[in-house]
Amino acid sequence: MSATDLARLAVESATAAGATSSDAVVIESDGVTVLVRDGQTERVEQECSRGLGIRAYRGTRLGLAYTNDLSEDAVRETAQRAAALAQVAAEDEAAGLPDAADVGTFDGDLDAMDASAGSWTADTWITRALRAEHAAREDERITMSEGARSGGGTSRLALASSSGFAAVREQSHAFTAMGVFATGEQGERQRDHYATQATHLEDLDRPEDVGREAARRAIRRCGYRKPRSGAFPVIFSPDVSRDLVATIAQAQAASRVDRRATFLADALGESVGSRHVTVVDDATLPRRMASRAFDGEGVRSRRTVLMDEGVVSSWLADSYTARRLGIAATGNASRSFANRPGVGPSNLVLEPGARGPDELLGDVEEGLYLTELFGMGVNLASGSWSRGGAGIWIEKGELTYPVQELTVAGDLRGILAGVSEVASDLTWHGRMATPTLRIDGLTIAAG
Amino acid sequence: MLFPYSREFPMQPHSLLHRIDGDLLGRVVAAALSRGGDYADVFLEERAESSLHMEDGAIRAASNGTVAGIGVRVLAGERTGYAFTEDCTPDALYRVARTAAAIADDVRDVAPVQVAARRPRDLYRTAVPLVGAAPSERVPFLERAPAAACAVDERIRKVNVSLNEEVKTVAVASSDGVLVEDVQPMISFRVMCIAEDGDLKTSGMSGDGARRGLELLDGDAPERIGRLAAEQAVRNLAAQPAPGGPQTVVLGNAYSGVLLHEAVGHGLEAYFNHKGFSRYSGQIGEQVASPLVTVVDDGTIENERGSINVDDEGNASGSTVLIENGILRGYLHDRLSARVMDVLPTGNGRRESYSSMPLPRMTNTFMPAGEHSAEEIIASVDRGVYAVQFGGGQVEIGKGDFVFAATEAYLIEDGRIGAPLRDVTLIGNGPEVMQRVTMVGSDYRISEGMWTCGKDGQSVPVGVGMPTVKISSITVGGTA
Repeated sequence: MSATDLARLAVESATAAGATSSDAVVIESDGVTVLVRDGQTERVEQECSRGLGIRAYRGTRLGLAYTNDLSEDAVRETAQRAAALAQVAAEDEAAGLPDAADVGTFDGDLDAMDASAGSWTADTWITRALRAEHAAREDERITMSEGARSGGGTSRLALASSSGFAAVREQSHAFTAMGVFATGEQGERQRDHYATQATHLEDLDRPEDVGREAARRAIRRCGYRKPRSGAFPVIFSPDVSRDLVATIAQAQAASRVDRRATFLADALGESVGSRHVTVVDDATLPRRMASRAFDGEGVRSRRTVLMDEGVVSSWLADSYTARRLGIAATGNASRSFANRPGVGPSNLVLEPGARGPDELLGDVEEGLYLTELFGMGVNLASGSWSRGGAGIWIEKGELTYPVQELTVAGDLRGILAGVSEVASDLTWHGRMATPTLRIDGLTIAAG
Repeated sequence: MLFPYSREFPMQPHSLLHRIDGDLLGRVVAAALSRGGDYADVFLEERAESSLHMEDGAIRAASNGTVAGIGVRVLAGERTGYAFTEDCTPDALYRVARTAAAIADDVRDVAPVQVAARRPRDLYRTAVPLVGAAPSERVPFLERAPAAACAVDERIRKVNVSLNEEVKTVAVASSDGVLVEDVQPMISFRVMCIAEDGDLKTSGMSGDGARRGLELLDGDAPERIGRLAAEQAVRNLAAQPAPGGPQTVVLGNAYSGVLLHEAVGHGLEAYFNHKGFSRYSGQIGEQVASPLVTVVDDGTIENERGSINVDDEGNASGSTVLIENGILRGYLHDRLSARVMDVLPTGNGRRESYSSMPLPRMTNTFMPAGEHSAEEIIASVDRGVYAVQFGGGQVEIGKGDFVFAATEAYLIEDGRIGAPLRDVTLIGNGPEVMQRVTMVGSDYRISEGMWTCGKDGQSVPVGVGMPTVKISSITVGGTA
């Protein structure tokens, strides 16, 4: 039985068991990941994973069940369980399948599948990992390899619903990643890494470039100092901008708005960011990792401007949270087979500005070029934001010495309003595209 | 069929062993070694889960599910081949065994391996079994939490409650002849509150979890957890910006174990050490922390969230002294790291599921009690920060820098606890910060079971415990 037929079988079985409506997904993924270290293949992991999840409604009561046994008997039994569980939940007038007008598939060509994916083997990835590691070790300051990882595969989601929707979306994905340790002149050891990922093999950075970039990043950390504490302009590298844009998208998820768990809960239509901040969620871009013709409940994919020159212009919504908030679904239902559908971004783009990153740096008399953020110090409800960081100190418009063991803190409203410029260097990484940007008003603290 | 799914939910009885053909497993292990590997194991897992989710006092969704699969691992020297399947038939099993075997390249005939069942201890004594009761029996437990939370303060605006129950059966058969099974229950109850006052919104979170049954929610547990979440949210409404820069920090008991987990524990997971990646590599017997510091990882504490009877390689869990009075004593090992470093495994080979190979991981990590009262410790600080509850942490193993985020913290002024502080990140270098532990409290407590550790994309449940501890200086990421 095909994946779509199994999903249909689940829906039919749920109906037979008393569900008034239902939908089911079958999610499958196959792939290989390798780890190479010191020129040797250290790990080869073969993945082959399947699962079916069904949500069943009795009127507006929701029950969910799942299994990874895709035999017809197990699928029927799972659908019956979902139908039975629907008696437990409370009536909820927002619950139900998406509105018919929203259901469908985006009709452009997303080019999501690499035609060569069928012939990828462990050797495809071992070769790439070996090349990345070899290039990373060209520089003698790189004293140890943490290993090069590479891998790829395909994934498929089949969705069928009692309203008659049935479709499959497929995608290929591949990555190469390298981690290295550099030893500085004082003998101190620094680690850094770099990774590339794409739907198509030919869109990956060359393995040699991945290795050399990892090496460059580790080496530039050597000889670090602790920076001055205080309020300084901070230039976010594209990597760090990505962290901020992901936070904005989370704060604009309708599920959070509904739970009041975001500082933006009452800010729809309000100007909260500087005019430089325009963030777009777009599931319709060809060859991007989160592109898809429909979301996890069959809502047609689209482009949604989340923040328009600083104005909160839309939430990200699945059909349930859209009904709760009285807005339109945006095709942002994310779904795994074992979890209740939730709200999640697709591809996120922070629109670039006009000037190059060097020009932004050149304007800074003294400040921080931030290359790394870590830790979980983001509270989306209150908007407080306090993170660990690392980077390079800027003096008189020039990058000087590396800095570490520092914190960068502010609050998210201040941060969004404090974006004083966005650079032109839009950089894609996985499902996100971000440029360099400058924020004023952050506080840097160091020991 | 080797590993039939139970068609009913929940899968009863939970034991896999009575459904496994031991001879077949022995032949699969032999197939896994057929290309020259020197060790192989087969990991079988069957998991039943159920959950209830409540928002605004109403159950929004009830869900349950079953997941099962088999992973085969082959070691050839330090090389690992891994493959898994969810198709639990002998053919699929031989296929994944041959896939994993390909990490080695010396074809040979291997006789079937004899595996013999072994009984593990029982750390998970359970009164009311999980998974399988009618969900409607569980609903009243969830209903009690929002009422208690809202009674704390009228500014509590939203309360979400969830109850998750899991029973996971794992079995391991290895080329060493081991055949062992463990049935692992896990219950977890969580409450999340939002408080609002004008434009100000704050969150509070609380929970408990354990390897035990529904008796976790005996007495007033739902009310207590609801109140804790609400009190945290309400306190944060009055929170002030935290000071920035180096501060004396007093860490409250129990939850501050997050610090040990990040600053010490990860750096002592042996994979990082036999490779030389860790800041702690090659330092056994050396002073790596203040003499006041002892750190233990113990997977044998009855009913704790991080406890396991056996690890996911079939080794009995253990109690490992990592640091004793400031001296580094040992690492946490899985089979591979133990073999490479020529020591015994410590029972810390853990994996998220059949789809992942095991790694050395923590279980319950704690610092035993010292001699000062919490009051004495706080009174000793002129000006500093008292950090009580945490949202999690992260560490970079190579240099040892770590962060952890305090979600409940207070200013200390003149030896007294003062104003609450907004969420704040603390950053430091593990070995440096552990040298600056200047007082250790007598109020050791293990945290409520609500921690999950993520590493290499794999999540496993863990526990942390700590007495009140004073750190003479650590960088606080505040704005004031």
